[in-house]
Amino acid sequence: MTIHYYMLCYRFEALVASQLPPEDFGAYLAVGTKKNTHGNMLFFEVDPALRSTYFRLEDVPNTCVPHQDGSPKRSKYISTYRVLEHLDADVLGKLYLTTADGRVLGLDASTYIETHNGSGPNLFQELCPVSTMVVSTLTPLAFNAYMTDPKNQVGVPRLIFADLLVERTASGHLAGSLPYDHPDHIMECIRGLEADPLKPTKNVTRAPHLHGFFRTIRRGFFLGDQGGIKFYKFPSKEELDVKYHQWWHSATESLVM
Amino acid sequence: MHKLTAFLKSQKVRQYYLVGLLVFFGAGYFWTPSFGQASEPTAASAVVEHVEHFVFFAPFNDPSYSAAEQYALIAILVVAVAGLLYALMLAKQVFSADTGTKKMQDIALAIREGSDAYLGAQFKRIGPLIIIITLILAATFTGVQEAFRWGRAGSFMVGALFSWTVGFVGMRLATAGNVRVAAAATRSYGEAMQLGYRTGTVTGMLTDGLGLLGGTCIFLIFGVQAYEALLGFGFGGTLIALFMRVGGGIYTKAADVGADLVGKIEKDIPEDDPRNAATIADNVGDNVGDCAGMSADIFESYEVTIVAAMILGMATYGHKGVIFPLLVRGIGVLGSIISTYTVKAGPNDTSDTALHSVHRGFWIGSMISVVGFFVLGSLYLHFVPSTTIDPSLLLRFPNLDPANLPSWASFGVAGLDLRPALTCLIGVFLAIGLNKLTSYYTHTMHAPVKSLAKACTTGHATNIIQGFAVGYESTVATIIVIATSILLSVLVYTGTPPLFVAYGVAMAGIGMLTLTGNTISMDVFGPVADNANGIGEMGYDPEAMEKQKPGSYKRARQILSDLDAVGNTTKAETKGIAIGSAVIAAVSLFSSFIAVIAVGSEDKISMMSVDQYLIEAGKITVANPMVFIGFLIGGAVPFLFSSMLIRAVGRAAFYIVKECRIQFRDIEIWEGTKKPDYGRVVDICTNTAQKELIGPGLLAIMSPLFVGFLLGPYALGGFLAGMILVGQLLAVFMSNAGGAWDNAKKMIEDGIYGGKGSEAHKAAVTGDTVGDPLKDTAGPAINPLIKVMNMVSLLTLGLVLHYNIISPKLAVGGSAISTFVTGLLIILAAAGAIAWAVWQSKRDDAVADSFGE
Repeated sequence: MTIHYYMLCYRFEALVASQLPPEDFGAYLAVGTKKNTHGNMLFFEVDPALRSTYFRLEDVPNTCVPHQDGSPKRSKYISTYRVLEHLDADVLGKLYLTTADGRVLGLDASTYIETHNGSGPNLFQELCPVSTMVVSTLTPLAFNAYMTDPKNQVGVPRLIFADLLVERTASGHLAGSLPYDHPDHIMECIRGLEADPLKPTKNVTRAPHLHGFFRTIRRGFFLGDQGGIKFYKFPSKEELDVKYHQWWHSATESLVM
Repeated sequence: MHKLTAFLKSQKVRQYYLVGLLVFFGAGYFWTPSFGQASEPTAASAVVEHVEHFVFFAPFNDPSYSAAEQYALIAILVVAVAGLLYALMLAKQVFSADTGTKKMQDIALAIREGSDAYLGAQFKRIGPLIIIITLILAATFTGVQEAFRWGRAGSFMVGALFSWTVGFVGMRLATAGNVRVAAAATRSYGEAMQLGYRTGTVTGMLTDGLGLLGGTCIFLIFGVQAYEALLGFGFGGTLIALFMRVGGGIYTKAADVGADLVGKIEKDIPEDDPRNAATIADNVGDNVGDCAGMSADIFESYEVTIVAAMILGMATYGHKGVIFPLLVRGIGVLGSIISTYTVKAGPNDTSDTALHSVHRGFWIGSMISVVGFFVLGSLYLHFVPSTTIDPSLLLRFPNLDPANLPSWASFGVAGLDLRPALTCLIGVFLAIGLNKLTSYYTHTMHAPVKSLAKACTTGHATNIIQGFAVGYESTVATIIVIATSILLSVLVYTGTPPLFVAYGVAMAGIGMLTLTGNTISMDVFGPVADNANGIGEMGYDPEAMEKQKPGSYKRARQILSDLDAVGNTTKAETKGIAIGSAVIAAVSLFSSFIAVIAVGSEDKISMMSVDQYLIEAGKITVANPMVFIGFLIGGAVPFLFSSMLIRAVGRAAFYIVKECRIQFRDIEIWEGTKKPDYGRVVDICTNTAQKELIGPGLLAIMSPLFVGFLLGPYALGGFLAGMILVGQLLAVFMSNAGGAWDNAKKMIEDGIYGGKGSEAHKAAVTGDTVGDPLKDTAGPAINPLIKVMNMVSLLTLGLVLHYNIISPKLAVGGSAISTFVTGLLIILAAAGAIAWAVWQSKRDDAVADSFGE
């Protein structure tokens, strides 16, 4: 059986070997084990030709083997600490979004072309290795550059983040359909940012509850470092309704984060 | 033995059993006249004083009936049959519609099989009970006309059969219509909407047609003394409605709560996800609860209001007072036929325009009815009082003088008395008022539901607290509307004896349910659209549909979602009418109750004097400790009844959760590669619902007997008064609070306060879950409870008068000891049955133990 490598990036960070293909691996994470996460999961498929001096990959072929009954080995954890910074962005392939009941949607990486829509105020949800919700006047490209800048004392070497919806009503409030915990606080942060043009970002919450997370995704997911950015475009509502109906239905009906 | 059991359970035997029961019911009904004829004046009956000579088919033999009246009665029969034929025509339209893809048909078939299994099991359990009660009714008859001994019992069976038929056909149509609506939604909004509404109209017209047919036939057979048989007919319908409401309510909410607890909360999968073993049971529950239960409920309201009106009509206006309600009902059937056919929607309509069309249909029907019964009233309600013939005829005029009849009642025409028509109009306004009120407290457009949605933003508890506040307030508003309509009836009959006022109230009930066809169409449309949405969710193939016509999948889903929203609104609106009609019928029957106490049995009501009525009515006062005790007990019974039902839902839901959890442990089911065993959950729901309905049913039948025989007839009057008041308040509270919680959740899901998945949504889900057994199980079941208790009280009042242990009215030649012993035995039997019912409802510990296994 083929060994796949996966990098889990939300709700926790880990490098895992598995004999399950991505869809089955996602379902396994969500519902196939009593250790299930009870919520949404995000993971990348890692290039199977992965070589690393940091991770002990040489043991994997011996440990990631089928069970005695012939069933595939579902997970063999290789590392659960500082994984992202030790994997090149090039080895991270498709991003898989898993709902709480195990429906999996795979997104391909594409080139991100910034348009005028990229300007702020933007709401970003950092997913790995930190998980802060941030409002920013920066575009996704600039935000990535800022957050992974070695000179930035609170920066990180590599970052995965999502771009969230900040639709506003005529009266300036966040749209009622957005399931954020504290919409008024988000608006306060945005106003605070607008009042101080020199401030590029402002933290909203350090570890937010991501209720209805997939409903809040605006353009998609970003994986970036100082070398560049990979963009995983989130399908349009129409595409989700029709092409990925089961996944979208599962994602939008979810009662948990 | 095993072979015998298998043989008895075989499909063929079951069919023969049903057919056998049908033949038995029918035979009982048609056999009655010949039996009655055989018992015409005998030596024994001839000694009874003041016994009116009774002949069958008096309206065609008695010269006091004019030719016009005889033609009118035949016309009513024709209208009733026309209503049934219209239902048949619509049923053919529904069945000839496209049934969609194989996958959709399979899902619909599973729902239909589950629904059939439920009603089949219920019929098997209730059938013998109906036969036993029929025999008891015949054996305990205390009247003097032997013809009514079996007339009443046979009518009881027919009432039960009609009520069951209405429920069964309603549910069968709904399970056939749902898949066709889902298929039609892939083509056009208008087609889907029309098909869904007409599916409901079939049940509506069946209720109208059978109700009118039954009432009219009984009147034609038994004449002005038909109230004896009508009581049996009404009781049959009411009892079946109680069982259908209770069983259906337990089933639907147990399945719903069970499916949600495991699916949404534990496993976090969406509603109608095919991996959830309770999904089909949930859809079946919509049919057995909202279609079968509600149809039987409205049918019995339809019957009970006409029973009350005909009994009181005879005691006030003579046979004209009996025929007029039938004429009004005939007009109502015509109005429903015309108005329901006008309900249509265009191919690109929205939920707003569709709702407008449904409401327009209701208005058209109302106008036809109002004009109709005023025209009929002007032609028919002419009275020429002749004091030389019968001075009591002057009682109907204020201060005993025809000249005092106000011009708004006579329109200046001498002898014309349009007050019965005016009270019908009050009933129409009452129906509209209750519709609006229910809509105000439960619709997302209005402040109460908005306040609940807002309360969700601060947590689960604030939502619950606000829901209680809204529910309590709504009971006050409803009471005010109902009290106002009764007050208006009182004002219309100012200056006349209380029995006329009671007739006015009964006629308000007749007016209120004039548009039963429309009301049930609106109600049944709800579960049909809900099921169609579920079938679309589970059965549509998005990619195939998009390949065939881009955008078609999304459009079809939107149509089904819109129809579901319209159905939810129309269904909620009709609940107010169901509760209101129960109260109006109960108030009318209460007057009959006093009248029977006054004269000793139903068949002597026409001989009652005003003084007798007033004296007996004056004795039912809370100053009398016995009456007050009865009042207190009566007020407590709806709470005990509701407690039993809510516990039953919890218990049944436990079993379902347990089964679903077991099935979810199968990884193949979880992964969606294996179909769950839906039938297993359906069986659990069916069996537990059947088992659970016995206790509440016994409570409803036995508690009036217990109070009546233990504390006497006046305490029984107090019992009824307390039960009507508290039952009405509790039913409205539960229905409206539950409806408001439900719609607050929908409001949030539609995109306010964070929408689905937000903290506010979770609080809203908690409110909805709390409200579910209130609004769909206990609340609606109180309507038939009120009427069953009234009917039991009325039917057994003759026995209560003779055998109660407080103040028995000894029969000629009867001994005090044997009377006391008989009364005591009945009390012990009733107390034992109630104690067993309460004990049955408290088996939570045993369930909890088995649940932990």
